[in-house]
Amino acid sequence: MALSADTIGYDYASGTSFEQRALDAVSLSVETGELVLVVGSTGSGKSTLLRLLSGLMAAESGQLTLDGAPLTSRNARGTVGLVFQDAESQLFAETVLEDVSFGPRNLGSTVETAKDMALAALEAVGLDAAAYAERSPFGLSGGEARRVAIAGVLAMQPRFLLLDEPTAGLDARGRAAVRAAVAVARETAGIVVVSHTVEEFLGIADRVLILSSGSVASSGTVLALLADPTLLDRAGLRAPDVLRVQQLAKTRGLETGPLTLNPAAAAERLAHARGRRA
Amino acid sequence: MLSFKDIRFTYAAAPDGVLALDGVCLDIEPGRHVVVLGANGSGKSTLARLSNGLLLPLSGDVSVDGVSTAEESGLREIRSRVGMVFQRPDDQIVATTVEEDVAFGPENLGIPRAELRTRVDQALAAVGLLGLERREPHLLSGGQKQRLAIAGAIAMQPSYLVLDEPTSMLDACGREDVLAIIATLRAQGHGILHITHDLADMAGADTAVVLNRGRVLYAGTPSGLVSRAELLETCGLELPALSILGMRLQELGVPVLPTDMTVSGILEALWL
Repeated sequence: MALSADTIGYDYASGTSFEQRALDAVSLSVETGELVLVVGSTGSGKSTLLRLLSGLMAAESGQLTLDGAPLTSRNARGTVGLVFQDAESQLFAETVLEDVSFGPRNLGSTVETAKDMALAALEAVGLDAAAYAERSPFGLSGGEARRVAIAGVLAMQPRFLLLDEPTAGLDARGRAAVRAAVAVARETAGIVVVSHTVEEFLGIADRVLILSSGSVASSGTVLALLADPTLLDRAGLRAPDVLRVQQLAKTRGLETGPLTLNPAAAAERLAHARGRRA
Repeated sequence: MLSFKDIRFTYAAAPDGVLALDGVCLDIEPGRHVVVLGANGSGKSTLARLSNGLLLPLSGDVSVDGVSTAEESGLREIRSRVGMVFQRPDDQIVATTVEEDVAFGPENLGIPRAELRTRVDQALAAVGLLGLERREPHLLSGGQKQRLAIAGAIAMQPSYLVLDEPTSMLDACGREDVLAIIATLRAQGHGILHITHDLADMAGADTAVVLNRGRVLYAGTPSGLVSRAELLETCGLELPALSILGMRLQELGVPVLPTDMTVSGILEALWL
């Protein structure tokens, strides 16, 4: 049970003089319960990869498969859910409940079933379904609106969930609420999150794929990335500050052991190493 | 001076007339960088819209170099003195090339051709986009687009710049570029009103102001705010991971100063 890309390639404006390679030999696989984080700078091909994984566009080379069968827009429907960047700008209905029920209704659920699915999805993103169902989606805060938009995709109960920059532009509470919603969704789905800020999802990711100019710069576990954060620098990204401090301290001779994302734990290791040296 | 005096404001649609701003006083002098921090719904964007008369206060007064935004005859002058940059660069781009986009504002003011060229070049130089004059804006990265939006504001030669969450859609490198530009503009004498929900943005500012539900809960130095854990919690603001690391080091006896919460500052303290 996996959504997989095997050495896929994609060109924009293929066959014209404006042809531009967007993805080149990229492979990635995600299973239920897994979270794969995709990072890369602007233009690295992150969003193109998500569109291909969602079945919206077909790859020009390589293979996309869903549970072993070739991925098509038909078998992706209802099974692979895509949350676009600025997802809240696509809210349209008069009430939150109507908006979130739209997906399951479209997939053929009855009004009653769609309502139950929508209410469950609202709870999954941490919104009190009873309190929000009848509200207008246009009177919500940024974080609430973003979560309603995510609920709209979750309501279709996809087995794979693809999210493009789900926390961009939100404040601390909004970001924490979206992260919590993603963690809940992961219990029943395989998740691919695209983000330009590395630290946002690193703490809950299983694996990290780093894209650079359409190619895979690195692909591995979070632990492997923590062992060598320069992988990020080489792809034109900035390692999180907490990692940079530990790494620079290490190169200057403070032996702190393995790097950690937890700032308090990092402080303790650094202070301890400093004490030993003194 | 860009001055807010005892501002109260409510939106017509607000339930029970809830005040978006309630008794806010704030002064931004030329050459000063004031950061206004707050979570969603704290009133900080309302403050931005009041600064050049896009909105008018329910009571109190907003004035720019002594001219009140309530005087309609002064609005034209006020808007040429107060430049605005918003969160989403895509929403602020109007033209099909970079240079036309920067020229749009001053061209509308009827600036002569030769001066227009100078202004556009200077504005693009200030944000590091020289060489991209003929580029189509939609081909720029997010950070470049936001720098383009700032160039468009600078080309109007304003005394004050109001930036509403200018970094929240950007990656780490884009954010650093924008913060560096803000520092330069401040040094050149612009008064900066910088609105953000990210405490990491306040490092170079002169003053930090925290808004919560329309009220000012803190006005003081950025470094003084870092230790106010309870206040930050109340206001839905989150300390940057680096500050948490620095403060824990301090507790463990490493001489990190509140003004040293940067990668290089912390490294130096570790070797003291």
